[in-house]
Amino acid sequence: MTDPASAAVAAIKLLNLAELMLDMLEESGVALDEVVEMRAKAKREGRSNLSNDEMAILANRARSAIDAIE
Amino acid sequence: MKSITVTTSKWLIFAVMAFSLAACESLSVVQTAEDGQEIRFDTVKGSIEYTEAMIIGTAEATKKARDNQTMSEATALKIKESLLESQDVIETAQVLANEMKFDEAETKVAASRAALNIARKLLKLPIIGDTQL
Repeated sequence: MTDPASAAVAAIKLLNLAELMLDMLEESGVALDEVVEMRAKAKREGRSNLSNDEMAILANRARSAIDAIE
Repeated sequence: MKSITVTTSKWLIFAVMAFSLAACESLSVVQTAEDGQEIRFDTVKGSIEYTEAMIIGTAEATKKARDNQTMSEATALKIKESLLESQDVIETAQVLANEMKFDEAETKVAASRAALNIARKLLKLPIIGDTQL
């Protein structure tokens, strides 16, 4: 017989995991949309990929987002 | 108590697998920009740009979970470490991509490897045996 308290903890873990995964998808989708628009702008300017400066901006943003995790 | 932990672990693995599959479906390597242009991420540089977006998204979602206290500090730090490692790999790949010329076959292999690498990093995320994630 499963202890109700343990079952509740397990359910909360699953819900938290589901929420985290959905958030990761959503946030990644938002970041990807921004990259898509940067690429579209580059394409209009005759470039097939982002410039080194644009990549540096993305890399800095990634580093800042990682550093913000405490 | 031990059996519930094992059951939970299995469910967590299934949940992660399901969400990874959903991620592959919803975050396709071919995207459409607002002006209707088709933007592809199936080259080496494209996969680097795509991975950067995944790293930013994962970091922001992790920070949000930590701020909401739905994730433990230990888990957040493990994810942070994993993301820093991924970011180092991506920045090295960016330098290499600028220095080298890739043919079509190589770009496809490199893009697949990058995608697998992201999946591998994400699958390391869930921590079992903590009261929080």
